Amino acid sequence: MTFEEFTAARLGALVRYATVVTWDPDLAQDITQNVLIRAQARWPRIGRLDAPEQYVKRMIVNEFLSWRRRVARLVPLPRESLDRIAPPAPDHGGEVVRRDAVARLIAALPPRQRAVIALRFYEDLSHEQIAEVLGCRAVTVRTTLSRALANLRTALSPTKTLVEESL
Amino acid sequence: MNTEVEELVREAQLHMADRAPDPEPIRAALATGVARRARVRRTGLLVAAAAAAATVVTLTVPMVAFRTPAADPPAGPPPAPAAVEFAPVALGFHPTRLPAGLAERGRLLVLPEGTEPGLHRTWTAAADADPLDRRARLELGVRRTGEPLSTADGTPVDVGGREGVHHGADSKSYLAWRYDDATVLTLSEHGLGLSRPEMVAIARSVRPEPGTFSVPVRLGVLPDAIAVETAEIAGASPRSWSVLISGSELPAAGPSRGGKERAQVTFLSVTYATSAPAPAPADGRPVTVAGHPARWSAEKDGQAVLIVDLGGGRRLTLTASGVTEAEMIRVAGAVRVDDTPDVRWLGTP
Repeated sequence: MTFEEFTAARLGALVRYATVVTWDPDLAQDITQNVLIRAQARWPRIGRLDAPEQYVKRMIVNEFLSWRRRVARLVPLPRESLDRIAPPAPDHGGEVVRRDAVARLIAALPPRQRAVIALRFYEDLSHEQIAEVLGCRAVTVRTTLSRALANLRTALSPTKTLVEESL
Repeated sequence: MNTEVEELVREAQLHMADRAPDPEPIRAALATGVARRARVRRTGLLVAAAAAAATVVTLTVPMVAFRTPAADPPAGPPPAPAAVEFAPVALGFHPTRLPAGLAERGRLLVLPEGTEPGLHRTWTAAADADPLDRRARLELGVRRTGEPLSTADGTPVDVGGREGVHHGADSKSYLAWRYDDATVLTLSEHGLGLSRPEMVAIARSVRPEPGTFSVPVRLGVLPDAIAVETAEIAGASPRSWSVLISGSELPAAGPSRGGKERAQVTFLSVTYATSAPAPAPADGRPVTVAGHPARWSAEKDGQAVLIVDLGGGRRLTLTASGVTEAEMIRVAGAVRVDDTPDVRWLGTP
């Protein structure tokens, strides 16, 4: 498979994947482009791997985590505009309110936790597969995932109550 | 409740995936070679100049960054060549018409494997622009290629009689046009809200610019597996700037063994900042790098960070994955910085 064939078939899916990992469409575009430029230069080797798409997805996750860390270490990261990431929607009912609440909570998760839940629930990877992507032990993945879900569960409880009360 | 939370997460993720940006600008950028990153040859090979007319010159300016009490080299044989050093590249082109308030605050050296290197220049309105920040910006890139422009899903435009194509999407737009038979220029704006006519007007104002640009940092040591891909300098003014050099490991040639690929992409980034904007994090284990205090910390995802306090507000930060602590310290200790770089262009239109 040539690089052109790969991007023709998979670019849309990669951008969607990057959007879920980063939770930021603008950043997803930048990261996907950066990664594909690198992948294009190395395609003679990447294209011969058993699963080139998985390799490129790993590059996307690593680019995201390393980008976040570099920024955090260099400059105080401005508080993300949650309204931009998950703009408030007109209240058409509790489902929309709750979905927006979840989106905002995911946006507020630490980047590693956000990446893990993307790999677990969007990519449907096992703990062991996620561990391979992130280069850590499966037990670390379980811990990170558990913390992410606990954070969401804790934060959602009062939100859910408010939503239910407003209905 | 976890099952319910998991379902909510899945639903939110699908909703977020539906907000993914249009992939066509990326496809167009790949087709025309618009690279914000690329590959730099390593291991003592000097990077070729971007333009054929440019002269390839070895960096000969004094390099001062790490100097242990006994580190002043005695007179004698010259030091071994650096693992990575960057020859000057031609500035190439410059827009003579810019939106009010924009000043040049970043230059990114990009060197695609197997083709000529290029330089991408960035203008921003913010006084405290950072190379890693994604604030509103205008970028000009040069691509040496004779391949035809991709017009898929773009709008054909005329740039002073030359063929061009414009892509616009939400808060960003992108324009590529053929400057001559061997050169494609690219102009992209993020968050400036420039219309298509405004983008075309800026593109029409682009003129050749003489002179060269040099990266004021070199790496004396680099792990064998890693190839440097980009070098970027950015800052608000000649007094406050940083250089970011990034590299990663090529995947092994041929099919992976046993159907298993390596778990993680190995990478290394080296950032030198003249004035760190915030105190270094206090976490991590204290280490010493060429006589300077530093802290090394391993992250749970397998990545590691080494922060070296060079004094006077200067800081060196290494971020890596798949690179040992000892290798990171060795790389950091061999970084060389030109203490009198020509960065007068920072903050000028």
